[in-house]
Amino acid sequence: MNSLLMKVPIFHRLFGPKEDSRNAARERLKTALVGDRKTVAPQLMNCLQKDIEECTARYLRADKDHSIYKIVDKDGKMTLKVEIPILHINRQRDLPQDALKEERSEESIELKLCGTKLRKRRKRKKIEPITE
Amino acid sequence: MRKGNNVGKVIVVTSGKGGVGKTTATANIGAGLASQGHSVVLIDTDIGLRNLDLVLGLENRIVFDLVDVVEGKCRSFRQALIKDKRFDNLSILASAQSREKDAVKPEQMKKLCNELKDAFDFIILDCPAGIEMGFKNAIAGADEAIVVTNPEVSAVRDADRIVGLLEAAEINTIRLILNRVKPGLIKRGQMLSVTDVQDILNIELLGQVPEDERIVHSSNKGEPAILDPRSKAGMAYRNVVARILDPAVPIVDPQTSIWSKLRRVLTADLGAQVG
Repeated sequence: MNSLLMKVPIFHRLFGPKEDSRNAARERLKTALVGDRKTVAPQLMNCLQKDIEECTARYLRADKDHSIYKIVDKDGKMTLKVEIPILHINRQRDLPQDALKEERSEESIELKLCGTKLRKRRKRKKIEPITE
Repeated sequence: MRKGNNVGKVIVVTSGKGGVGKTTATANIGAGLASQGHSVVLIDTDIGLRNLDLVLGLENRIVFDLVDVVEGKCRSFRQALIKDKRFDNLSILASAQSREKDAVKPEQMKKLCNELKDAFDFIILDCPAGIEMGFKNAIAGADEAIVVTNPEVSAVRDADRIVGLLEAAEINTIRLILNRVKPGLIKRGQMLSVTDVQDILNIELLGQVPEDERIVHSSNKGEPAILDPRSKAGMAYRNVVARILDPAVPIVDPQTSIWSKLRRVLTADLGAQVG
């Protein structure tokens, strides 16, 4: 009886299972676009690698020739995979002074992190125009 | 002929995917801007697939087309412009029907856009679907872009690609029109919402246009929906036009309740709504 009633569109709409495809669309699109933007903009990976190298250089000496920077699919989520072999790690006295200062008050670091999270919106990297 | 003192603005209407409503958007924005007293020229850059003339009901008046203008077959672009029936300050330049997409080169389009800038307030280019030659032609002379998309995965993905290409071409003002929005479906969780699309594409929203059966009706007659006081989409396009002229104007949310429909029917007054 129940299944018979459900065949009537209005009953199905009112009492049938809720079908939510919006979230699926959103998630699938986001994943697809990570892949698209990566392949469409090869410079993006180069820029990212350069930025990370600059940042890590303040703390350690990396083996640049054997570093790996990749965007991989991990359980359906696009993930940035970075592997940097370390040749040498800097001493305490060589750490950037302003980073040390912030460490003293944990609260300020937390606030700062929140701030960057809110402010940091995705910025598109310049990409090559298509050339046939 | 011109209203403003500055040089005109060239806006390309593009989407990547076909069938999302580029031509309808171009026709409506053009008619809307003209109704506000601006001089406007619409250019159909889809060579081989001429459509804009039909949507505006001007298909019987074409003598010269875009290819004739760039090849110098008519004295000047003025000879090829087709004046709209409703607005004196609105004209279109039809695309060639019998030619190939590579009949025009990006440099020629750029030159034409620059010439038109001196004569019109707004030059709006209806871009073909795809990212090939036709797209490159259409964006070559553009100052700004309007990306039209639908709340569907394939249309949004293509729009993202287009945004990337526009940025690469150094067109920095890129705004989004989300077309064919169905608020009922969004409410039931079966369609990407305006915020979802905006979040994914991360570009400024110019407007949202609801799915409207009257659009079919108005293109059947060759009259832009923006002139139809009862059209939901027309109302949304009036908002889009107001926002093009003044970015401070807020976006209207397409309402679909019976009461808002009733109110619209009772209070419909085109002049008041446009102004």
